[in-house]
Amino acid sequence: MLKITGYADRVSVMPGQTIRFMVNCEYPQYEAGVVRVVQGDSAPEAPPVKLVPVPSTVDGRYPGRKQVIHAGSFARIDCGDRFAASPGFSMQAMVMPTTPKKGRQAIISKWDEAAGKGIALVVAEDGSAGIEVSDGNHKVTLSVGKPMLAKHWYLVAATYDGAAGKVAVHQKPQHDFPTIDDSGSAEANAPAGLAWDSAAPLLFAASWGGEDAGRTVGRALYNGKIDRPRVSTAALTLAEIEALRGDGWPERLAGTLAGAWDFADDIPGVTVRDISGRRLDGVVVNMPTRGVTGHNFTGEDGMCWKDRPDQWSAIHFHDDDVYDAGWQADFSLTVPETMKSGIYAVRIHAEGEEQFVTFVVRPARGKPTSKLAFLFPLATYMAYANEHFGTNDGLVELHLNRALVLHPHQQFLNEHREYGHSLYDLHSDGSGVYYSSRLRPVLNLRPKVEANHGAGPSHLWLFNADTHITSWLEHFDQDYDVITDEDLHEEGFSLLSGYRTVMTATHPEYYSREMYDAVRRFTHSGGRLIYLGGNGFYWRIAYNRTQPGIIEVRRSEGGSRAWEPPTGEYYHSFTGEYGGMWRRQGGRSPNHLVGVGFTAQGFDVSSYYRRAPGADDPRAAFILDGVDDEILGDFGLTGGGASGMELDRHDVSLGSPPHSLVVARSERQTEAHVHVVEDLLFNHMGTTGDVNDKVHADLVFFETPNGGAVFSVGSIAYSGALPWNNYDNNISRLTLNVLRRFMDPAPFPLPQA
Amino acid sequence: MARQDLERLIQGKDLDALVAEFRAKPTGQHSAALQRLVNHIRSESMDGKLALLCTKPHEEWRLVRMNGRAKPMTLLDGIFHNLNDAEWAIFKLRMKRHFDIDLAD
Repeated sequence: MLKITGYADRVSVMPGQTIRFMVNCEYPQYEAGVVRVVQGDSAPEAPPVKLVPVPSTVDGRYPGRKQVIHAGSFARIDCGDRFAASPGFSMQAMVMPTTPKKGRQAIISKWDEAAGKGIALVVAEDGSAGIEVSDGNHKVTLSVGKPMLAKHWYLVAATYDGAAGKVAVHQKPQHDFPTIDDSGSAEANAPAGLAWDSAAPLLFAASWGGEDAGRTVGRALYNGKIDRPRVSTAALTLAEIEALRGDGWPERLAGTLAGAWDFADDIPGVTVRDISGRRLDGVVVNMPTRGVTGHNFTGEDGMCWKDRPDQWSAIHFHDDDVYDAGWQADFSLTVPETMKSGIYAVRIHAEGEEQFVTFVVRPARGKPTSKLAFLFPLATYMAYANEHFGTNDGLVELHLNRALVLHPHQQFLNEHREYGHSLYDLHSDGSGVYYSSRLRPVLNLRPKVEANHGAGPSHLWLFNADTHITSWLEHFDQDYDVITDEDLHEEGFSLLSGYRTVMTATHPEYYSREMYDAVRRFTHSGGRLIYLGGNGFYWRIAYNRTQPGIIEVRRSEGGSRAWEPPTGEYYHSFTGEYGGMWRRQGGRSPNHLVGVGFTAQGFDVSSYYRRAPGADDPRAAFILDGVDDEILGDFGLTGGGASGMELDRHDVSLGSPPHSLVVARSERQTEAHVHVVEDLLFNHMGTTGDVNDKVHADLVFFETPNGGAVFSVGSIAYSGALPWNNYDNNISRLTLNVLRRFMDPAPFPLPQA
Repeated sequence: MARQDLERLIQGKDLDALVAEFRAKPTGQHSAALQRLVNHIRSESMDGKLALLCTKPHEEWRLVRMNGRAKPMTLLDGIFHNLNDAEWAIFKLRMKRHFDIDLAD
């Protein structure tokens, strides 16, 4: 099991900036140093791994220390012990528990776990609403005793009458099922005058487990939605509680209403607003999901939270949410002006174990150091960060059509769910993961790592597969800058405008509007784009405007997807933008941008391309100059061929420019390569690669306005063919032809209309 | 019942021939009957699924049994230095598990 993990406070850093590294190391000490990552594939069939040591101030031996992640989201309101003199106390909320049988979960609490003191409205061990109140010596617990149904809404409340010495709990379902007995109240005697209050913060969805190195620790973590929580400094009756569940309240209850939170306020951000007038505002911790439907969502008044915020006044909390691991920094690097733009990693090693923290040195703003940029697909790496493909769903083996091979980081992540999930995973309560952060160790973003989805012999996916491209560039002495998605999102077209050619990675799948528009403006302004992958420009994402390093996806409507959001949750909480595939978003399909769009996926064995009629067009003659082969790429490190894993096809009806040329087309894809569901209405028998003509990759070229051009390969496996036979092969040759022509300033003339 | 499932999957094809086909090439395009058979036995849930843990990159793999989400996997006897041999070992175990058929090497 891994004993070294780490991350940095940023992935993209420019000369003069400082990057801080956080390390968890269970060995007494470790050594660290910076390497430049050129080739990270350790398969014997690949060229040798090439990690070039770069002397820096990081070099040295450091003491190891264990650092842990406190996963689980909640909201925190700091209010001291202001309730200490309250004769009574009531807590209430509309809730939709998703794991009521999980065990004790705090809905609203002011409970100090270490002292065993406080008051809490909980999902009790028996799955029903309960109350806990204790002064640290005497603890009273009571629950309704009728388990709540998962994924159904309830009004729940708990009261303590300190004068009369009584506790009560209430649980009222929003829907009555004739065969389910889940409505009820319970009341019991309790010691009067329990001094339960303390300095513990008021929390929603957790109890207070103390503070650890600047982080609030949540315990009794709750899974599910909470809507309109309220607390009152009196022991209310059920009728009074019901009178407070809406957004207005009777004057007679306003005096004891001590906090009423509107989670629809600041959906894109991290604050939770108290609208009671008591100013008990708070913040969410570990980014629970916002912009989710509340208990009163109708589906008739609009589908976006901006339409009727009052119907999205809920937050979905998860016991495995994690945003910022919050570790202590162990060392940092101030990037010297002389450090060349490129992909780097801090290599950490101790007692035979090795770990990497990958980062990018980009050029200073507005100062490219090459005419070629490699676009490091950080958003897609974040989308797949710490994926659990191999440990969550057994049917993964049918995608792979081969035995499931797990790697040490996956074994670790399966058991260490606190390291957080990818956008392909489900939370522990079965809901889809909408957010992914890079402020935590991302164990699959490093050289030498293998994955389930990339086929043999190399078994690479995403970052490490992308080092086939960087090693190919360096083999041919092509200099390049490296820029990341995050830079592109923030700077837009101006980041690209200094480059003649931009080259993508094997799988640039996740794009924000800012990123998409920047690439489109580049290709329409004389820029040249080499899209060296498949399934690119596919999902729309949103970046959070106030919280760094976190992205959101809502897989709305359709698409090849690991989960689907429920109705009413199709709009990003971070921006209010509609989520889903770019091909559904008004003339911005991948086909419009790069001439091809996602058509099939399969992960067993790759195939080859056959030269197509477009290759003979004089406009494309430069591409296969010196390549006489009819068959292209019947070899490679990813599945043994250049066409495989995820494939894109040329389709004018989906937006491929009519003047684009199909230079080569793949054929004989395996049965495991299946046609994408977004092209299907009724499912049918003929969707697999052995029988379906749409299961193929197209290699496409077209000119763009102002002398630019686009070259797309439409296959993730393509770049695995580049290093084959020591970079001497027809895929390498044709790609080099394209690169050299694209780096030539001579404009590409648009064909006559 | 298991036998009936098997017959439905292989539809009169010779099981020995399908086994030989798998042994010769465990990965990639199979004949229709063999693909139906392997799809069936590979559909095991994560709780109990047979899988491999890479113990030396590109060199050594250990047979494991998955025990469900977030639960530690169980290391089983069986260390392989070739993925095709590992595929074959899993295939044999699954033919026993699903159809009570013992296959010899």
